[in-house]
Amino acid sequence: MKEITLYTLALQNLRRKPYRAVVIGLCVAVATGSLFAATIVLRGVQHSLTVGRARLGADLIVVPIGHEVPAQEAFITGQPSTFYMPDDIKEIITALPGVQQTSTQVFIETLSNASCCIGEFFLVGFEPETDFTISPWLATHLDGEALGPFDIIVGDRILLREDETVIFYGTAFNVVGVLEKTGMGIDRTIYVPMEGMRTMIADSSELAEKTLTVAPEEISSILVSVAPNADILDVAERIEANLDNAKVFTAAQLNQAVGNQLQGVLGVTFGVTIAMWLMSLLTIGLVFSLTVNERQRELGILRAMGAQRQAIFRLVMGEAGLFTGLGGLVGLASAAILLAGFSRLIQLRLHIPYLLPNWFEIVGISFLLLVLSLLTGALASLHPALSSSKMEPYAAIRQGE
Amino acid sequence: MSRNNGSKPKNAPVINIEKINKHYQQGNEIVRAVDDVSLQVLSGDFVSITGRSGSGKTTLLSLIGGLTMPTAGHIEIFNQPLESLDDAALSTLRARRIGFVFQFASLIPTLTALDNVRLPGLFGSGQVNPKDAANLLSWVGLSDKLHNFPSELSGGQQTRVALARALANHPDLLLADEPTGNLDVETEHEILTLLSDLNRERGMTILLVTHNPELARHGTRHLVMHNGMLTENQDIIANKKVPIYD
Amino acid sequence: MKRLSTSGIVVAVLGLLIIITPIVLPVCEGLLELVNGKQVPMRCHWTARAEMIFGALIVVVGLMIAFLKKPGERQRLYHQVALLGLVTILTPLFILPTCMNPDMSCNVGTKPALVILGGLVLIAGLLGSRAPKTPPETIE
Repeated sequence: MKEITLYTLALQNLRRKPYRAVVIGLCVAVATGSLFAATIVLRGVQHSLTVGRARLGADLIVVPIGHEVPAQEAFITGQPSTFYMPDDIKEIITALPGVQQTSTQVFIETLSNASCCIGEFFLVGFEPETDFTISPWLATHLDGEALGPFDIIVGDRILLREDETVIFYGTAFNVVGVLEKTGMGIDRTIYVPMEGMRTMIADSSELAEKTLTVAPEEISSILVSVAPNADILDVAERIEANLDNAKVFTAAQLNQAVGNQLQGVLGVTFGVTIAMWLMSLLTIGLVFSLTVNERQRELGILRAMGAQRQAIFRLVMGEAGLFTGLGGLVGLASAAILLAGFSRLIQLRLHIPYLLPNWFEIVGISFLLLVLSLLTGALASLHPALSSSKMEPYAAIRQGE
Repeated sequence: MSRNNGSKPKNAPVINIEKINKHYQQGNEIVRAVDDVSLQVLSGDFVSITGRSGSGKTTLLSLIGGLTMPTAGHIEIFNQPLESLDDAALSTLRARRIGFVFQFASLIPTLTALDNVRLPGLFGSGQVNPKDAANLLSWVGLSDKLHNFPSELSGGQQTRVALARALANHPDLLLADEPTGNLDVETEHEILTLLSDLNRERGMTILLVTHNPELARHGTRHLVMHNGMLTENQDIIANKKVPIYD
Repeated sequence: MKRLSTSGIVVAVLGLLIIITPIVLPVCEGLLELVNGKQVPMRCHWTARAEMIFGALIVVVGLMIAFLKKPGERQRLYHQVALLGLVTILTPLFILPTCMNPDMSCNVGTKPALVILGGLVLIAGLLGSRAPKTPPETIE
């Protein structure tokens, strides 16, 4: 038969007042769960930006003036966008001091393609000779084998896999590789060698349902890599000073654009969570004061049985810890399940990049939040625990009469 | 049932009180709950204390049990001066050598009768064996109620469980404060008979506080508390009629 | 009115939430054109329909549990609840799966909500169908 311990007693007391336990547990669960979700989303965004920027490889991105926002959207969420500028800009930029490398890209939006999947996808034409975004990946994954003009690399969220063939605007392409997940727009992008892209555009009048009207000298963006000893912002200013119809944004500005999206939502979430936490603290403190007051006689009788002051203290604190600890666990589990289920929805609705942080970090955050929920219980019940343990047994027993 | 049954000389002093006082402030007045009381109780005694409500008898019992401290005076329990004991030592004394029974049983409602009896094991010298707990409950006549919860027991049955609980750690002294206060006459006598058996057959030293002098007959000594002062009542022992205190 | 079973009410509420999920988090609205030119709803449309039916069944069983007296009868119904929960989970995943594209509304909203609610129904069913507490150990 099992032992009777202080823990048994605390557990019994939880069962005596189930509604009270649920109220306290729920307060803590919601506060813990909200904080967990907000933290993981924030860390997920940061993780995605780090991975995505590393993949992108560029320090600066040049786009036609007035198209910065759709361009940023394209990089962040992969929402297709098409805009064009003359390609002579590239020579101007390449000649500027501080510019190490440049590479052009052409953006095309696909039509909804029933043979592949429903939805529009982002075709990005790139120059294999000058590109520094895809090439590093090619070097490690395809042993640096040269790409044919109709060999394409797809992002993780495209429903195509290696060796599959797909037709865009009447031209057939072969999938030779799939990029790793970044949580950013790259995941919904299909990279097409420029030669293949230009051929597709030229043949679209004959082969496709819709004719593409992109001129051979038109490009959509220029990716710039800055020299190691140069200042990125200086180079950016220099580029804009030398061009009339183009705008430059840095990868840092990309982060800022995301930050702006998030600020409002996360700010409110963190604010609400902290308010809830404080409310939980007050609620638990009040409930425990009431509980301890009701049970003075019982605690006095425990003292008469031989319980020392510290045993009473540990009993009351232990009960609070049990309530809040369980609430914290439920909150964490619920938030984890909801986040796992709805992370994509959150990403799409908030227009943010998101990549799950590594497991070590998630476990660490969970552990910290669990400790926080236990501390909440401890803090809230400190006064009732102290006062009940200090009370003279006789006074406690008489209080119940 | 008593730890020292047979090993202790029968008439060794268990309780030794010298001129204890318990005063407290109530508004502008000083209330003398216990006023200059001296008392000696020997091992094997069954002392009953009667008196009006508010006469100080419960306070006296609590002072003896170390549940409260006197304003003045000296208390020795088992030759240990209580004023020299810290909370830990006092708690240990209560856990191992003193059993309490109160007017309201105050059992833990979510523990069975058996587990309630085992509860003192948390604070004593070790877990109370379920077999021992079951034996205690059998002795108080509840062998068929081991796994019932307090809500399933009558008032009298709950008091019996409380009595069994008080004996779980094999105390040498039992302090009972109005244990039958809210019970019917028949049950009152049943409980008192148990206490008498405990004293007669097992030599348990018992201090019983009751408002009913009729019940006081069960004891070997009868004391009366009045306005904080204690007197020996020879009339009860001589079987004379005395008024019932409420 | 005699006391209703709280857990029965909880099951009924979960069933109700399953019914309204495709309304609050709708599946894809577009139509597919077949080779013969006919336009049909996407397959997630049928997933949603099926789930709403399961939700209605869960509501009915939940209410039956709420109003029943005998624990034995309730236990049998809890087995059915567990089964319905399992079916609710499996339908959008395997039986009548939603669209292939993971970014479609049926996959980002409807499916996770239904799987989570189905999971809660399954847990409720499993917990409720546990055997009644065994009699306490006897002391010899």
